[in-house]
Amino acid sequence: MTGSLQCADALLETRHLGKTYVQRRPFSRSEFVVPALDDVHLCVPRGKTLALVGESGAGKSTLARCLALLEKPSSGEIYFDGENVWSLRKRELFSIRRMIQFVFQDPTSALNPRMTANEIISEPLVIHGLGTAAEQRKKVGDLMEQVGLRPAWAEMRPLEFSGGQRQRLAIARALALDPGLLILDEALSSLDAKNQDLILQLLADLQAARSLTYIHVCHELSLVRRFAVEVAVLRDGKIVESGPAIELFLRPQHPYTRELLAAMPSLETIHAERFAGEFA
Amino acid sequence: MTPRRKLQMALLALGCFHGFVLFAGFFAPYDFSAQDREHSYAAPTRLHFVDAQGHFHLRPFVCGGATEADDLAGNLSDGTSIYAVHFLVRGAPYKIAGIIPARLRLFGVAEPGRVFLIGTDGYGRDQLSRFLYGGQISLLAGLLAAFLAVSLGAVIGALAGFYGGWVDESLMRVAELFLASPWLYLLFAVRAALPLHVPEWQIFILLVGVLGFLGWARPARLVRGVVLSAKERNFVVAARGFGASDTHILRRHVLPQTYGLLLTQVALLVPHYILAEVTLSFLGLGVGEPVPSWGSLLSQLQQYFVLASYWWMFLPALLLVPLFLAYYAIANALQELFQPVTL
Amino acid sequence: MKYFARRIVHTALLLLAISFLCFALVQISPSDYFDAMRLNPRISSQTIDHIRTAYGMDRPLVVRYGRWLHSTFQGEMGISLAYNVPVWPLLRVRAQNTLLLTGTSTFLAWLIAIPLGIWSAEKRGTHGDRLVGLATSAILAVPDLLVYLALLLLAVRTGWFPTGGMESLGSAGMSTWGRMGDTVRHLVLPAMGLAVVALPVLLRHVRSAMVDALESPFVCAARGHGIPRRRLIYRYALPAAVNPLVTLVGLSVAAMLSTSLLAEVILSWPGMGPLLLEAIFSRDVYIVTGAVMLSSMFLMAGNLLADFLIFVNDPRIRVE
Repeated sequence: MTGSLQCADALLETRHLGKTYVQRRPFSRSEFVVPALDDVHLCVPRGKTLALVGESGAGKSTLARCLALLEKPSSGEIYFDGENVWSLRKRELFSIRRMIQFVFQDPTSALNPRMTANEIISEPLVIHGLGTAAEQRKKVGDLMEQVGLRPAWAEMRPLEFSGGQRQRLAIARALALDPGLLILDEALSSLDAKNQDLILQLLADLQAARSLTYIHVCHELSLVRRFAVEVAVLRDGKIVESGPAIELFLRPQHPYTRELLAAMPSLETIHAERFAGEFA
Repeated sequence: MTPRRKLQMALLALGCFHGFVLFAGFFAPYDFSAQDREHSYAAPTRLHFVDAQGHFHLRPFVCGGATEADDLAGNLSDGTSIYAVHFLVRGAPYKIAGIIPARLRLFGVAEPGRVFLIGTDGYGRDQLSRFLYGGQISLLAGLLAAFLAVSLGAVIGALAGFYGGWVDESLMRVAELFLASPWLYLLFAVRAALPLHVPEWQIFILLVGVLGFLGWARPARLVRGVVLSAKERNFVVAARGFGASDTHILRRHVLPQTYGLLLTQVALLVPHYILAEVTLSFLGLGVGEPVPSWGSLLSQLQQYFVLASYWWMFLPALLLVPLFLAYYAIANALQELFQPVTL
Repeated sequence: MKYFARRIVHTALLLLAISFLCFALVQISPSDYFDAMRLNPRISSQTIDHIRTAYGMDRPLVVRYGRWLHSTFQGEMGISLAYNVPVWPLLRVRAQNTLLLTGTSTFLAWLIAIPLGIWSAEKRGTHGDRLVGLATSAILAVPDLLVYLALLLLAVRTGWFPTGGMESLGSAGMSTWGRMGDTVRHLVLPAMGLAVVALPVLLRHVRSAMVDALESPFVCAARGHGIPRRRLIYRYALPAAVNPLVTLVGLSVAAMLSTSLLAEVILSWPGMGPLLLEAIFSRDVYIVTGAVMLSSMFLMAGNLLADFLIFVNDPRIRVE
């Protein structure tokens, strides 16, 4: 592994993180082993955005889910604010979960189509028993405003919203518990270019307003350039290079990083394509 | 017609039908066991509005005696007495819900007139009254058994689907056992295990119990399928991410996906179990005399002379058809209404 | 092939479980075959006990089950208390008749369901299809009891068909062809009844499988290439639709068994149904157990057949 990360002021840190998937039919002997992550070291600096890049199948989503505590790692530790998360008791783990939130790639599947926006956003509050129904309602209204949705839409169902609005809904839900860390798993991939812009702007505003830390899994390097402060490159379950974004883009050390960057269309090409689209 | 409208209409029709059966005492002109040997195998009594002199009466009436000969001829013989049909009469005593005694019946004729709207059987018992009373047994058995089977199936299917692993495997193996059994044969076998002369309510409970118990496997499989796919949905993963407990997830996200399926299953199974009860009592294995059931009403048709000569004995069977149609219409409408919500 | 070995073992175990279940069920009954005898004051209770011991009915349940199993492997399946002969020969004849009936009606039902289902799927949405759909729903709503009774009425009134049994008087004197024709005449009513009762479900499944196949992308592509209609249906859509239907074949044979019981009783077809009924009324324990076992076996054979057909038809299963 080349490059280095500042682990001094890390909100989240992993050491020797490993994850293997074992598929086994009950009552049978044969197993099917899939190694997804191997000895992953990661430091996520407080208040900054870390981008996780790599090709498909590299393990980015697995890593993101492990960091979000959605899945338990097979080996290694995860430290949140200095505490070893998986060694905590259930109650403490429960309260840590408030601090880390996850936004899915596909907002449509991440929202229960039978629930209203109000129910969706207030669900985390209900689970953690925060506030009365009226207080929760008010909070939902505030959150919706913050993400750019009209509070009057609170009784609508996800399918009545557009794709970009659904992702905003998902983000509002993620913010309900006032987390410190937001993990976004390809959250922009299902959106068109305009919505990508809008959501990125929203995320930047929220980060400034709430001092949020982001881990942003993204395979599109052209987007990563726009928001990442730190970058980690994942390949076949291992981190091959990590460090400040500027360093990585200007002076990539690892050959794989260079390959990825080479495959990315240059800024000039991107602008040219955009113009072509507008005049076509 | 939208599914919702169809559902409403079917439910209305069913509600009326069940209402008639529920208040059988009120709607039936006679008690179900009242025999009238003089009028055995009497054809349905014809209601007349115009008498022999050609006068029109607003109130329908029946001919005196209401014998077979009269109605086959279709004529009114002069000089026969006329009995008007009165409404809201005092008839034979009965008990509402088996507790409250009452005597009010919807309609009747004064003695010695008879009004057998769908004829009588070999003992001279009014078939309409027996049909209404018999419905109480058959319908109740069908409804209870269907609810039992679906409830049992829902619980087991949800457990199997949600917890997976060996729980799932073992439960599904057991389900396979039940699905592989020829249910009617097993039902007979269980019935055979009982003495033939057991108090009726015991037979009834047993019938319902066995039917429901034998029938959980199919709903269980379906529920398991829904739960399995719901469990993997991202919004469930998200909820887990918030720290939701299993109960919360089941209650809020997973089980609501099954409601449509469960309702449809109930609507489909009720006719099936009603038919099972009817088949059993038809063959003499159901709730016994003197309690009527639709099956026992029809069992006399096994005798050729009854089958060939007394067409009205078929009527109880024919009346089942619209009943089943209503239930299937409900099932179809429910299926359409609860189509999975997609883009 | 290993897959099938597993399935067969699995089926055998299942059968064993059912047989025990059934055995236990009937044996724990408080009343038994000898109740009728007990009512007769001329038969002393010692005689009854004597007979019971002779039949081994005073032994504990497990012992009786073991002895019954042993007897089954010897080809007897216990003794009929009423007929005083081993159960299996008795059952075998009846089972053959039931199989004949069930097989014929399954064949008939599929014979109608497949072409009608294909046609209906092709013409989906048109008046013809809707008519067929309505007729299907109508038949579904008619209780099978009514169908059989109606057929019986037909036989009694018109005399075109025999009202019961499998052979007419004097059939022994007929030639082989004559006998066969006679059996067929007797078979017509019950087979038709069963086929009509089974038809709606089959028809619906065929139609829906064909509709799925016809609307699938690869068939649309083929149509876009200009493949003629007939070829499209029989060489493209039908093979794709066959997969879900194959399971249904096995299952429909199996389900037919439960329904055939009633048909046999009402139309007096000498199959397992009437025998079972009689045995139930007289508490002839081993016949009941044997009949249930046998019908379970048919059911499972049907399922195995379905599995086998899928195995042959669907290469994906073979890879697993």
